[in-house]
Amino acid sequence: MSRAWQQRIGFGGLAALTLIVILPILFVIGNIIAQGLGAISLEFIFAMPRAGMRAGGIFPAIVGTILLTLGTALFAIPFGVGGAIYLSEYARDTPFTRAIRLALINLAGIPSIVYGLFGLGLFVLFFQFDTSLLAGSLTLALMTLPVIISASEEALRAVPIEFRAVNASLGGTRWQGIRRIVLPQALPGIITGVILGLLRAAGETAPILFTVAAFYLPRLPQSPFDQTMALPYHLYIISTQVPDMPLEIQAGTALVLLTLTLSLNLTATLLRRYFRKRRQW
Amino acid sequence: MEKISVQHLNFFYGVKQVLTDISLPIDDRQITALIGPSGCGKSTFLRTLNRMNDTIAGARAEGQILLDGENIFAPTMEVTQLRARVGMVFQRPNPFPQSVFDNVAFGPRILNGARAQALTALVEASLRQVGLWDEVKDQLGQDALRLSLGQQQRLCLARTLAVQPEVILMDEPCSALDPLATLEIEELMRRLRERYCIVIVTHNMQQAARVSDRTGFFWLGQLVEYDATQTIFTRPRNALTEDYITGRAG
Repeated sequence: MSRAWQQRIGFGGLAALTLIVILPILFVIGNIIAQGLGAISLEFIFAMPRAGMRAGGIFPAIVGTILLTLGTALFAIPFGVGGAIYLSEYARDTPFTRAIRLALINLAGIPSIVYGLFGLGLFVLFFQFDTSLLAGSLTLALMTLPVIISASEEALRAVPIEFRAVNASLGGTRWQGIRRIVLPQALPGIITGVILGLLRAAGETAPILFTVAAFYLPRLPQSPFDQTMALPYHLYIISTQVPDMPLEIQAGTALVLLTLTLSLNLTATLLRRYFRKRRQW
Repeated sequence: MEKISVQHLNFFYGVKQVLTDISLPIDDRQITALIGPSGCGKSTFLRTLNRMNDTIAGARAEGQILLDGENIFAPTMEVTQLRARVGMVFQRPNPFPQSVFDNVAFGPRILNGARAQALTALVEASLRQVGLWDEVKDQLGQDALRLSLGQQQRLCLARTLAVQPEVILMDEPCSALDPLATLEIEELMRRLRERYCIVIVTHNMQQAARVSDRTGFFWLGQLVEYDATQTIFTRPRNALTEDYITGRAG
């Protein structure tokens, strides 16, 4: 067999494999759109649920998920980015920092239900936040931290070491170099990492199960110490716990959740593309 | 007049000694060239003069380097202030990915938060000093990385000058440049010599011969010979120096 044919067959095989990977995704999204689009209406999005959630809207769940994501961002971004700056710019290679890195890798692999239980123990019971937006956001933030830290550290390390040297040679302190050169250059990567982390938080069910999510609460949370409904948990409930639930409402809820997360994803992609165009090194 | 006095400097990376008992005076308003083969320690030596090696784990210096009589390794020496006094230009042009103006203004801004009006004047003066003003005065907001490599290197020099240093260290500043841009930089060095103490590391012996007043020859971490450039290149006292500059060694 000629080398050209080997090449063609190789490429063809790889293309087929790629297609096989993409097909289920397209099928899932297509299926949800086909079955759920009929449920989408202004009422569905902006009204409270009625009739044991079999009618009305999912407004509190949407608001709950948005608030939880914002709450997660509030806690995860300062700690995550701060930790990444420390690890990338200040920490020397000591047993201590190696232990931190090892912990981060392992934290990223912990099942989300374990975070849920941990959040229940620490935030809900020990700190007595009860099941609340605060406890849920903190739990989700914990789960998101490893993602944000590793992505941000990666982005910081990608900034050429030379810029730090130039800053030092001009009499700048390390922090001045970070604030004026390194951080702005690393920002696109950091933003992408943050959004990907939040994306995961927005779609998680297990960590909010014991820490914030309400089964049925047809009103909006009034304070950080309130419970709230949330889309992933709501979807789980109406898919498994409520008899005679119209399929359309399940698919419609899934579609709303999917739209929220995919639009976050799209934002990340657009931001990355925008910044990459402006980056020159 | 003696600006820098290096006295019995030893330098180590961990247990490896890279500089052995270096002593030399460096005069103000002169160009001092350091030559020698790769790995001979000339760049390491240059970087001890503004303590840029401090950040390398395991790096350690012994001996003294006096800047205007003050030991730069003394605990009272603030390293950021030292580096503001002893500026540095690197091997590869490395402007920040910012505008031409912001590049030159970087040092003054971080050092004393210079006021806008003074800053503009300082940027113009620095760019004029490196002969770049007429080329970029209409595009100060332009991205510095769109300049040619030669312009970028002069911009880096202007960025260093804006801090108003007393000494300028140059680490093979022309190795990434074409011959014309190299000549521009050399011309510039001759002009800057009137006001600054310049130390240049170069692997280009013709360059050392062209621009410098004094030349030091490094070999395996030792300063083999240090003398007036003309003497080094015409009547070196050490056989090793002669072998190196005539191309028989190194």
